[in-house]
Amino acid sequence: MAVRNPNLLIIGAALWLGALSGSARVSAAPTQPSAAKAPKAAPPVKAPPKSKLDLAALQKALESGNEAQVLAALDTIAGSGDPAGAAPVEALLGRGASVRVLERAIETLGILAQPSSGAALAPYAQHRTPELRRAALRALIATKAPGAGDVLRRALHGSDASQRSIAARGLGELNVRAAVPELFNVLPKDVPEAAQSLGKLCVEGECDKLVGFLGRLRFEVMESAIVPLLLRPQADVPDELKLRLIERLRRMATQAANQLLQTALAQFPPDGSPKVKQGIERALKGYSVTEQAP
Amino acid sequence: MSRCLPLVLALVAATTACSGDIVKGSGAPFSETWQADQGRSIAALEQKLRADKAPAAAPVAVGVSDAGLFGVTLPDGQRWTHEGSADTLPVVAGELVVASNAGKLFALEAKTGREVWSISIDGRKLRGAGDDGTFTVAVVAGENPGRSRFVAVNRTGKIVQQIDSSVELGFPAVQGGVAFIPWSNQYVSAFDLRSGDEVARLLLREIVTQARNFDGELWFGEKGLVRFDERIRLATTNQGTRIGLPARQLPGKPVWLGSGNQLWPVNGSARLKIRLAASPAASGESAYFTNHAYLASYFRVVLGLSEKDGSLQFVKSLSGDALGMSAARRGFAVCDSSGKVSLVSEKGGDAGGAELGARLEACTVDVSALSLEQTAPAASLAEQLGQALGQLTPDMAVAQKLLIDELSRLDDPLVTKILIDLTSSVKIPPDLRAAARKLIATRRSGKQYMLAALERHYDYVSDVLLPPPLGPLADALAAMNEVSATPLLARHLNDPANEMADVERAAIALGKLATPAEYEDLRTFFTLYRATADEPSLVSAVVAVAGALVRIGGAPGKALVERAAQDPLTQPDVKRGLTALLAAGGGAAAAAASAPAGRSTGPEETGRGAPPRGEQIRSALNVAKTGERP
Repeated sequence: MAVRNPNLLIIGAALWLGALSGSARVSAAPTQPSAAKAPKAAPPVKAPPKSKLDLAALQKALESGNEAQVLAALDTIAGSGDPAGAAPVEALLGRGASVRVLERAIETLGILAQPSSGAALAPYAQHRTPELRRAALRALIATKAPGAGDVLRRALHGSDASQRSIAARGLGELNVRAAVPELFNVLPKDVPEAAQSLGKLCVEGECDKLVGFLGRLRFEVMESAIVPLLLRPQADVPDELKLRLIERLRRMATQAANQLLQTALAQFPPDGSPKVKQGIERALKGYSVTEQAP
Repeated sequence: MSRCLPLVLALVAATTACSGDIVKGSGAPFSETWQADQGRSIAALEQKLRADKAPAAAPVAVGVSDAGLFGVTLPDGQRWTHEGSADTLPVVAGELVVASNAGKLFALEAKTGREVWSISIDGRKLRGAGDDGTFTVAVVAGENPGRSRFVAVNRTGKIVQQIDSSVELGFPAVQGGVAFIPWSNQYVSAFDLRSGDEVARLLLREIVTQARNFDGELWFGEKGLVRFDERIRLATTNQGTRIGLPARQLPGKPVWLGSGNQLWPVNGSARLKIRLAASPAASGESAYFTNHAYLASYFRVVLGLSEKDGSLQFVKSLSGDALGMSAARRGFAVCDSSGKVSLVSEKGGDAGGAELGARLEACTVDVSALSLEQTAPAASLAEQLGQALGQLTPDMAVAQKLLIDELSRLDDPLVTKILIDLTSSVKIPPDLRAAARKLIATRRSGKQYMLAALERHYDYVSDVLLPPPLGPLADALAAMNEVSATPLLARHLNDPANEMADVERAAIALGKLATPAEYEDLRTFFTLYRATADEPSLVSAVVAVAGALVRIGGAPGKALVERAAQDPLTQPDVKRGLTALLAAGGGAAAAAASAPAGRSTGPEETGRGAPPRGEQIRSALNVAKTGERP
């Protein structure tokens, strides 16, 4: 069932932002006025390992207001891959900067891939500059921040087609099960990336529903859903469904369907269901999956 | 008074007419050498016929399609069909329906559709007809000028009079065996059908191409009508009982009766769909229109307009294009291309209806003798307008503008909702959407609809593919000092689906209305754009939001703006605006935050005046835009 009220997502994202606002955003922001909600106290964290970066100098450069210096500092942090560099970059996003600086800062946080960066990145997923919001979504996916799923779901509701594509793909990568209804909603509405994510996320009847799109959507779109579906464990997707799907592909008797089965077979996990593997092999030889072998 | 005119005598055929036979000639009877008689002859005739009224038209609707004629009696809905179509609009004449097709003129019983008679008209087509219960008169004509023919037929189908004329003959009527034939745009000649004599002539000082029977009363004219009553003698000097429709701009420039000298072909042209309908009546010496109103059609929309000043009384949306309309003694009837006949009360409410059972190309309806009772009240005028606007197609811009203008005159809060709905529909053409947006900004009622609209955001998943009209709503709510709108406006600030110009207007509204509860949304917006504002409206929005932050954000808010004003990365125009804002008394603005905007007094309450903090923001915006201090 599609989420009919995007406000729920907005509220969810807002709550998440509030909960995570103990990092860059709060440090960059002034004390809130009395009417604004006070952020929750950040949970105690282990002291990070000592950084090789000269964080004080980098922070100074990032606060300099000199674009060249800021960019150079960001390059240093990105090049180091040091998670300790994330905090000053998050703070930079919390203060705001030029598009050029923001692009580099967002990219840097994506490279560092720290879950803590989620709160700083999230507002940029709604920036009016398309490149910034797309970069923010990509970085959010890389960070695997706990609330990234809500931001991606919200992006799926947005007006930017590229953003929807990134979000649809990211929801699969981040295993956001709650997004399945929305992914089903957008799949036939020109968001083909939803197919792949649904192939990873669907369970039981949802997978049947997904297979039902075979023949209704372009085969290339469904291809991205079918391979991950066939490779998922029996606990998530019953073998019977996979075998039905394999048989259907066999009956299509097209080169594309055959190629798809070959791809699935090549990627088949060692601990995957033998019945399914056998089914793929039989189908590739042209035999019915559901009948006895000759 | 029975005599032959000299010119009629000039023709052999006319001579035979005096002896009671058919008059046959070629244009001679309509002599322009006639000596004006100061209305004596027509007055004498009126006196003679006063007690011999023509029957009113049978209440019936007759639709025309390729398959034939489809009739339905009103209001009871008895249907009939007649094989064979019509080439021009049929006419309801007394108890008959008169039509032409393929060179034949024929009459059907209005109640049953049974054919009463059929005569050859030599390739001509029906222009107009009347009936007095004994004789049916008709003018038929060719497509080209100069082939008018008048025929009078009795119930057996015998042609009792026939006159071919090179002068254009208009729409005729008949009463008490005397035919009234308008001609030369100026005269109405009265012919005694039994003798063939022209027994009277009326000279009017306005165009006359129509002789019409409305509910048993004869009227002559075209744009305006003069009643055939005891004052007809004075009509020559414009002192007759006269009536006309008020002048009013209407989409498609519809006409009421139109020229009686023209054919009304059944060809699906727009002419049939853009018409006026009204039935004149008289009380003593004063004439009026029944219902004190008239109808104007424009394709699928019919307007009920006041006879007094043309003001809108009701709007009716149809399931097909309006093809025929008639005003009853009380109420109206409209026949549309879907084959439906809608009966409408005098107030625009439902009064029943009937189905003709076929899709139609043309339709004639006459209910002038009926009084229709309302069966269901009309929706509010605002709702009617909203529905009608939804019926119009994008190419009907003139009608859309008219309906929007009418909407804007109503105080009903529902108008706000209708306007919002118009801006939110992807089916609405851009011009109409723009007009509706303009009007929303001027609304001062319907707050609940405004707030409900702001709850909505663009949502691809839910197929909400247009954001609400944020800018106009922000303008209106700011003018209404509606503080309850601030959280909704603040959330829209950070929604990139909104047009930048709308965001700017929301930011300016928040500059005035925002409360501390919106601080976080404002701060986020300010942070995202103070260094990335790449267009003037975004610069304005950022500066406006900065004004709000200074006002409601206390020391932290002011510090945030001050830091941004110093930061080299802040966009130069924004920077100028922030500097000006702070210089203009950011402190005072911040102090003003303690007084909620909704409770402020003075010109702000009207939504027109400029509040002190509004001035500061505007001043800063001006600096941001022009780079000059005010």
